[in-house]
Amino acid sequence: MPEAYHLPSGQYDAWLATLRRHGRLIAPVMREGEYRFDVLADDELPMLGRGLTRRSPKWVFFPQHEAMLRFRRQADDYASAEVAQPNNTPQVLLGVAPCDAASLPMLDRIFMDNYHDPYYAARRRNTLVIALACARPTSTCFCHALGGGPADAAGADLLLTVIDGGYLLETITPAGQSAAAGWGLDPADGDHREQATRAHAVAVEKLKPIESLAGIEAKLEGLFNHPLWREAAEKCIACGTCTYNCPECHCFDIRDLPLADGGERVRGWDACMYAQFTVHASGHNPRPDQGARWRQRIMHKFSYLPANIGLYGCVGCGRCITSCPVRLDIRQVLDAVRRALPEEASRGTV
Amino acid sequence: MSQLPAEVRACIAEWLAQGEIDLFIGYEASSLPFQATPAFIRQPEEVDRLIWDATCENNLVSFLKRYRGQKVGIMLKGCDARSLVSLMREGQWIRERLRIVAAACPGVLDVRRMVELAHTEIENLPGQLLPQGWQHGETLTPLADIRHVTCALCLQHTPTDYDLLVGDPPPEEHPDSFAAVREIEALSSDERWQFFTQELSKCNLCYTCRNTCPMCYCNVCFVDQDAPRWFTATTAPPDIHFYQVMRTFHLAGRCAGCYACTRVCPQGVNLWLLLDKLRADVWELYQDDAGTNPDAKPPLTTYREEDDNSFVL
Repeated sequence: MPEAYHLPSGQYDAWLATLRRHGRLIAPVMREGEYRFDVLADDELPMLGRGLTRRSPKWVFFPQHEAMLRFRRQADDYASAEVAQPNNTPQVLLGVAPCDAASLPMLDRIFMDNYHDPYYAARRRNTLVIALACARPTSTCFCHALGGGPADAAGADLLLTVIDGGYLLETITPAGQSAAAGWGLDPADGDHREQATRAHAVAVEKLKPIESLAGIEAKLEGLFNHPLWREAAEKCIACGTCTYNCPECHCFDIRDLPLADGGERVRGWDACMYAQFTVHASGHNPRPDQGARWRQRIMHKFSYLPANIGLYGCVGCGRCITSCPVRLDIRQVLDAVRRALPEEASRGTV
Repeated sequence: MSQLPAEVRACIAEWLAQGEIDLFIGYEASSLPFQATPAFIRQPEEVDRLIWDATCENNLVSFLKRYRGQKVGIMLKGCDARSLVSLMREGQWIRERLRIVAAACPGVLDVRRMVELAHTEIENLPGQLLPQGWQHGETLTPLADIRHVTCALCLQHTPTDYDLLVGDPPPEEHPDSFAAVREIEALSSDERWQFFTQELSKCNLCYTCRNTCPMCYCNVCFVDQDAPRWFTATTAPPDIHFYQVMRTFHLAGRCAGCYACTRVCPQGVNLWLLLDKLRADVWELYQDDAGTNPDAKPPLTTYREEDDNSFVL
């Protein structure tokens, strides 16, 4: 059983001060009318428990753009180049939803396994992740179809749960344990734990019944040339909002940013929804239409990633559903996959 | 959700059955409350899915470029119809290939305003839409308080050229559409810089504005060209400004003020302010409105000796 502490409301402010001493504090706040994760000002309080932020907090580990190399121009030559150093600033990421936390084990496999990304790894190593058990699952949540749940703390170092007059704080990882050991909190008693267990059960009750997506990778075998992709994608306007807001999407492109006295080689988010995504130098586009791009989106998340690393590329947060400008619902596409017959596929040339 | 009237559905089904159109682009209910989704109807028996009400926010004209050479039926609000006019006067579509179902539109919903009023998430918005407004719990919120902010600038509630009409055309309001532009023009250069820097800081470069704009029909957009590459596509302010300013300038004399870009922006950037400034300039310099006359020549493709050239350095 993990260690658990009691954080009464009366000690909350002092605890926040402790977190700020640990590192820069990143938590959900309102900015420009948007509920989102941001670095808090010294006197700013986090706004916890208002549901999911519009955008996922993946930028904390994998920013939308970052320099990997800086070069300077001297006289008429690019005389010096310098590799950008990973950022080792200690950080605390507070109030992460369990679905967002669940995306981290998958991103870790991408950026810290076969291929070791020093930028991602440094941020991950230096960030304490404190999840908040989800108390308000909504109609677009489908974490439970992918094996997750409102109190599933995989990926987090610690898990907070709202109980009467405060929080229960459970430690998940050794990093979480050693951090919490220094915070001077009283251990939780049986009543605190029971309240948290009840809160978790209440949240689970709120989830809509949904068919599990486990095993959908087998169904996707043989659907590569199925007409469903083009049909599903017809209303897609090919913006990248679903991929940008997704906690799991991690495709990027590398470009040179020219500046007055040199430039930067930057890595920035890319999206399979874009026509230019993976277009070849010859001009050949392996995914020539939006149907092929949607197939890539679904196949990557539900077929290639399970095959390669044993994890889905989707945590069921539902952000792609609520943020889509044309209301294209990934659950409906997955339903079409379930209904599709492989024998219909041979004719298609999506 | 309000299904299209039976006689309208029957007529669309007939167009499809007779081969007068290959495809009808309209709206149907989505999985989210108070938000319709584009529907692509090819079989007469599918027309019962079609709806029209204040949830039908998208501008469907932006889909037309995919169906060049086909005969298409389409549902248009007044604003959407203006963007079609601009498209037609650039020779990108001809009226003979279209069947237009016009919607008399009193304004479309901004679900984010509803979210603020109901203190809930977009996916959990309660209540129902009545002719008088939005009934949620004990509260009846009039449409004027929850329609999109750009609907208060509406240049045309009902299309003027159509084959079928749905609904009773509301009186046209003719608001002073450039009032906001003049307010910003009155600010100092520093204040304007501050204002737009702040506004554009919300942009996350997803290109939804470009992709929903009927007039953004370049085969390859300047931000996507890679030989040469014009654009680094970072979210650093210079890149965001470059993208938004260049897109706006590219729409000079072409933007009809349908405001679809602003309505779909996932980040709520008030893009219409930039575009209305351009529309105001084009009106002042060339007395041209891109959304009224499909036979007029776009001002930047024509030359008159008396054309204003005071801005040429």
